[in-house]
Amino acid sequence: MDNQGFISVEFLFSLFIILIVAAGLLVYSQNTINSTLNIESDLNHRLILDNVANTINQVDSQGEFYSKYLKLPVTDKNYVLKLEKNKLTIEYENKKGEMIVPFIDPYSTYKMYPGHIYEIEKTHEGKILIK
Amino acid sequence: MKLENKGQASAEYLLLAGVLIVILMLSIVFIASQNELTMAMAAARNGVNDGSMYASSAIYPSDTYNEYSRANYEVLIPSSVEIINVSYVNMGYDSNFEKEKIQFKVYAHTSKDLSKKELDSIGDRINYNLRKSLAVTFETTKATNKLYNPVFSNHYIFTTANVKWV
Repeated sequence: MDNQGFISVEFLFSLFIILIVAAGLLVYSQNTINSTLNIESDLNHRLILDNVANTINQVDSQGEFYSKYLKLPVTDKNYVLKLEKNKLTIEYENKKGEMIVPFIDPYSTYKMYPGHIYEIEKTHEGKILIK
Repeated sequence: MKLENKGQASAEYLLLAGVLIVILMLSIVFIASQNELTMAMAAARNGVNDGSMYASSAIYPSDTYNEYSRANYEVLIPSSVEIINVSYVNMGYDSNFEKEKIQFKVYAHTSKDLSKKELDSIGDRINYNLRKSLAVTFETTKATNKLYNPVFSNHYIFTTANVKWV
């Protein structure tokens, strides 16, 4: 080496090869990361849906006037939970999923939004009230 | 042999490197197409994973959801889909597209008792995501149609066979 601060041709050559390989993998890894994030978000919202459905079932299986508070978590998506007769659905970004809540009889169709706190109550009529 | 310490590679080394470069250039076509297949396989597995996860989360695009809801499909309840194997067959040279044709085949298993229509629906989603993943990886989304069928890469054209439920 003549100690003049020049990098060797061999180094440049290997750097070049590494760059080519990295460029090829870049799109692939981007794709992988994207799909993983997508799956994560789907499963996250499924968990929220399951959790709310479980809570409603729990309240329903208790006696009259039993109630429970529930805070809906905030995610990066703006989701809406909707309770209809026997069915709880979640909707966000043009995606939708449902969970069957058998024997649940709500007063009307309830909509729930992230970040809010809801009180789920079983009334003396045996119906579900959400406020 | 005494090196002159002037940062120069020896003539023998240059000769060796030269020969290596020539060999590399000759084999680069072969390496590139093999590399492409390896990438395709990796991308396909990725896509299959993606497609099968839809069944686990059971959260679908709104219009699909409405369709399933009308037909009263059981796939709206999360079910586990297990991918047994992803394989491909070389179908030979396709003279229409002047590329080699590769057909992917996915083997899957589900423990739930689903109707044939529902299995087809899950299978189609797996295949769709497989092809989509290929198209995104090879950056050929513009060259193909809405269903990504068939997908192209530099040396190959990819299709999918119906998912085999085992």
